[in-house]
Amino acid sequence: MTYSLEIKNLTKTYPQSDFRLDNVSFSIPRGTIMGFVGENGSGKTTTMNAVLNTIKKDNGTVKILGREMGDKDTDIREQVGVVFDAVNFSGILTPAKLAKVMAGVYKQWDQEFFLKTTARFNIEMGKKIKQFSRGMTMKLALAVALSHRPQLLILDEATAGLDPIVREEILGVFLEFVEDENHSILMSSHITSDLEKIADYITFIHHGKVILTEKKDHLIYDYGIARCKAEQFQLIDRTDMMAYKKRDYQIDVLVENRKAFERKYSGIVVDTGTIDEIMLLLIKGER
Amino acid sequence: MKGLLANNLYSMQENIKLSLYITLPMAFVPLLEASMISMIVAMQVFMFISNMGASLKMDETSGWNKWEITMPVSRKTIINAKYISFILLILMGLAVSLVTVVLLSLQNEFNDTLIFGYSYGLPLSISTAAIAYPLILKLGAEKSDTLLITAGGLSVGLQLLVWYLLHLSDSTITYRSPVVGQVSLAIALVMFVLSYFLSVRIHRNKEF
Repeated sequence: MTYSLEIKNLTKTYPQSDFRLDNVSFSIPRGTIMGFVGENGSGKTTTMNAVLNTIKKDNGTVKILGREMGDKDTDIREQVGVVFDAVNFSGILTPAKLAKVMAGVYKQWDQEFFLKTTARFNIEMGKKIKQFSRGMTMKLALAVALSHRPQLLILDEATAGLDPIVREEILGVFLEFVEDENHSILMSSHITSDLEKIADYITFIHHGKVILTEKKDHLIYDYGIARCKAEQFQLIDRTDMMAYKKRDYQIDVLVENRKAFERKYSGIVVDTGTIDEIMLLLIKGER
Repeated sequence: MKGLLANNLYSMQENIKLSLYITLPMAFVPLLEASMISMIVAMQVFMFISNMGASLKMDETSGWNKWEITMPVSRKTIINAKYISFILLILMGLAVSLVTVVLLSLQNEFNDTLIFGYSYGLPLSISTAAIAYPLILKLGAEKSDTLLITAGGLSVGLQLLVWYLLHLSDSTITYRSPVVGQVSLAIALVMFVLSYFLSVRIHRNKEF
């Protein structure tokens, strides 16, 4: 299997801060979408910043399309499209001017594709970016990221604050992008329902540590949440539970193989879980 | 590089226009009072470079200064584009000041105060950019106004120091003597080059 992005033992600390990225490791196979989830301050943006060299890592390796990227490896950056959770561009530019800027930087800039994408997103080419809504700004950022024909998209909360219709539209674009099996996406998001729709893999990060990387379908269809009473919980072998959380009259237990668990512990109701529920149990649950 | 330069100029476009609206009418002032030409020329030359802070602030608030690192350019190229933009701003100031010179030449009222305008304004512009940019890069663009004023003040102080040191060796040298301007300009150019290398170094170590 070849990977678009391989992160191994990535470590980053900050002076005068307790936060640290602690040996973060995960890989994104080509042609797939990796959802990157975790609570605020868990290390998602720091990981992405370290991948993109906007911050310096302390240790570890990051390979993009099979190569480590230094400051001078501009050919690798040509292959990476980026959307941050911010305006990204100077507000007094118009999309038309922005396209001229990008054409002067990216060798692979595809003006025709940019015009087609901005038209598809109903972006006015002569309007100043500062007059755009957040949705329009994010669509413009996405159009820019796609128009230099990258192989890897890195999206930091690119759908945050957008209404469901715009989000749906953007998610459709992501799915089109990965139709090419050389294309991949790393996408952080708090809106896990978006990731349930499009991601192939999910990586959970908590307090700077990756706690799980798993195929999304495996999480949705094979993982389960057992709803136990206290006496039922006592009977469960600890090796069969990934995490558990006590609620008022019930204990929720995260299990890796729902069907096997049901066979072993008959009488315990096991539901499929959403990514949100699984994340909550992994992060807030006991082990 | 071409794209970065275009972005820098687009970002400063509105401030450049504003500077033009201010400095072009100023070109007519010496027609009424010829003795003001040195001050007018110095102000015209300096006015454009004083816009650098607004553009750097915009880069920071929009997140562009982080985003541009993800583009296929090295950090050195980003700094190259910035310094070329500063040179272009200074050249714009010089170009507008030439309008003043041309207008005054119609009245044939040249004197050595014109030279003083350039020998004061040009080193001031160059050394202000040289001092301010690395400081803004290090301390953040939100402090750019304060840092620009500080850099301007230091640049004036530097010229006074140059005059004082030259005056010690030759008491006939006054603050308006051409040699003060020439030495100040040479020092400002050296500072500009050193500032470039310092900025490259700061940017390479800066996290966004």
